[in-house]
Amino acid sequence: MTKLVYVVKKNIQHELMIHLGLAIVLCLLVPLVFSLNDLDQYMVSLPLETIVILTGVVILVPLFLPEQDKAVFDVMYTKQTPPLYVNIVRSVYSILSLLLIPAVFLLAMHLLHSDVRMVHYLGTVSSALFLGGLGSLTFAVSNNVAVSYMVPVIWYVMCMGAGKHLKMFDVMMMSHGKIEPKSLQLIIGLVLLAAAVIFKSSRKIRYC
Amino acid sequence: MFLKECRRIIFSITFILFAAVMLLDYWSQYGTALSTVTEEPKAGEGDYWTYGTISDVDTDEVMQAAVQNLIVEYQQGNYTSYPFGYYKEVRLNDSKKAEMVNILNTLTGYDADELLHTTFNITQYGIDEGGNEVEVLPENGVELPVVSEQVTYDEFLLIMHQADDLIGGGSSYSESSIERLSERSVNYEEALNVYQTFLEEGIAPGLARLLCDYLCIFASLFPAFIAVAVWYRDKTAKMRDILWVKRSSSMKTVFARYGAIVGLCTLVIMLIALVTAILITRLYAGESVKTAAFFKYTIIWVVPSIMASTAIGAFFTEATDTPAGILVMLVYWFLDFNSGSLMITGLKTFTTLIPRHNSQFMAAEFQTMYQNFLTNRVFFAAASLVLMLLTAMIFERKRRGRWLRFDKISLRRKKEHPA
Repeated sequence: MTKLVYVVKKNIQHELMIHLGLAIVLCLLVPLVFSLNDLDQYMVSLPLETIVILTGVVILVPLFLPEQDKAVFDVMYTKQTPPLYVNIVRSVYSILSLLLIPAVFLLAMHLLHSDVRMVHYLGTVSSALFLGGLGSLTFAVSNNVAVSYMVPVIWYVMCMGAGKHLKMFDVMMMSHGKIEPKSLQLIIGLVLLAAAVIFKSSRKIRYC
Repeated sequence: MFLKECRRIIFSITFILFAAVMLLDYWSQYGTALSTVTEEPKAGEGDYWTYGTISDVDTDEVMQAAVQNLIVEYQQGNYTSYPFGYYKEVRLNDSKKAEMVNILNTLTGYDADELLHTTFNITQYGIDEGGNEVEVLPENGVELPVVSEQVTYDEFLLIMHQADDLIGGGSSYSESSIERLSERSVNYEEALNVYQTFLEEGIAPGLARLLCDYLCIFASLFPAFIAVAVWYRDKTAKMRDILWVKRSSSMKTVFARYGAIVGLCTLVIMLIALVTAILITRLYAGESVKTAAFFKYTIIWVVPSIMASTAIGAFFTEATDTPAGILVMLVYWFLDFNSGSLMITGLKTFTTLIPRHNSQFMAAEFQTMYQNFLTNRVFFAAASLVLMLLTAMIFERKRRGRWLRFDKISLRRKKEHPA
């Protein structure tokens, strides 16, 4: 238990706070671009799918960023605590923050008399996890931070321009008129994240 | 050194992804222009929007329409705007409300109370029993004063500019919105003229502008990722130890890398321009096609955006030792692209990174903005070089150990032990 508390505390203190802060700043920028009050269920989707889903990229992609520092890598992969344990802990609190941010955001929209529904919440979390999972798996495999941001961003801009052709994988599905919880994106997002954690936690992995 | 960097970048995943995105964008957006010959407009087609618009609607009508809209929004208490291409409702605070009353007073002669409580003869939209949108004209409505009797058109434009400023920009009273109010689709004869100009210009210039419009969108974003990957690798792969002790000057090292990224990204764009030139020449066989336009426009239009994107990525990575350049570039690109997304042609502001011209026609409109366009492109090219000079200075300071360190060890150094 002490170990768990220590790992959570240190990781939140050194890593999550920065990225969580950036995700919150991103959400605070939304009112500059969009109206949040008196929106119907279709208009509610726009700010969520245009900006709020990007919190998934901001929080999940840098999951393994500390190990980019050779010193941190050496310590982490030689300690008795398995890297898998640390990475699972990181994933859990990152997912929790991804559940929390859209919830607070939607609550604010609800208080501003917008037609917020449960499906908006599920759709936002699913797409955030999908984009984040895509980025974190890219990070785990390539160990290249720029590529890891690039892949979900490419997917995002593809959805902006040609989302309807991507069908169930369109992260802007609700803005394109299909109000659904995007269960497939949720499942695939979690699978991608799990694959990234398992791959990155292998002791055989080398620093490159 | 330049060639070494080129070799390193050309096989990197970021560059390969960049090239793939550009090709995908080219194929999906420009495919129609490559396979369909632009035909002469036919009489009686009815709609010639694709050939452009002309700004010659009666200015009195424009003023009347804009003021009607402003009164409706004032009475409702909220104003619709699209500051970044997305719908936004703006409510004014008391001081701004008072300023808006002054504006309406100048335009109509009515005071605040009268403006709020008078039912004007203004067509509004409602929903009938069948759920269809219908036009509704209020009964016994008061006729709106003729705006042109209160102010001249030039004064009106100035006043509308003030109203737009009060709302925060992107409203129905912005310069481009007022311009749209005065526009109508060209008629058959005018469409024929537009088509003749397209041919006389040599076909390629019009198509090249359309090509650059598409290419510039992603060429303004993704080079930043390549720059971040290259500069961030200094930190992760411990390249600094080698780089910092080399004889090569900081300026040379930084600009060799910068040149390699910009050069290779430009190469991708130029290859696309070359393929387009060949395909268009074949498509318009027998016509005079000035293919050089594809290369000319690509260089002056797209390259400054590539330079700016790369410089932003490099500068922020060098200065912070983090991939912050990606976030900065993404936010800049998002705001820039979306604020210009409602425009067919033009520059939203002087600092517009992505100039728009989403048509192979409208040569006259492009010529009108050409000087501004050139100034904008020169500005971006110059600003990028300045940013790279700053990057080289930071690199030099780091070499000498005179720069803030953002890495884990120095940031997380615990307090000194009392012992």
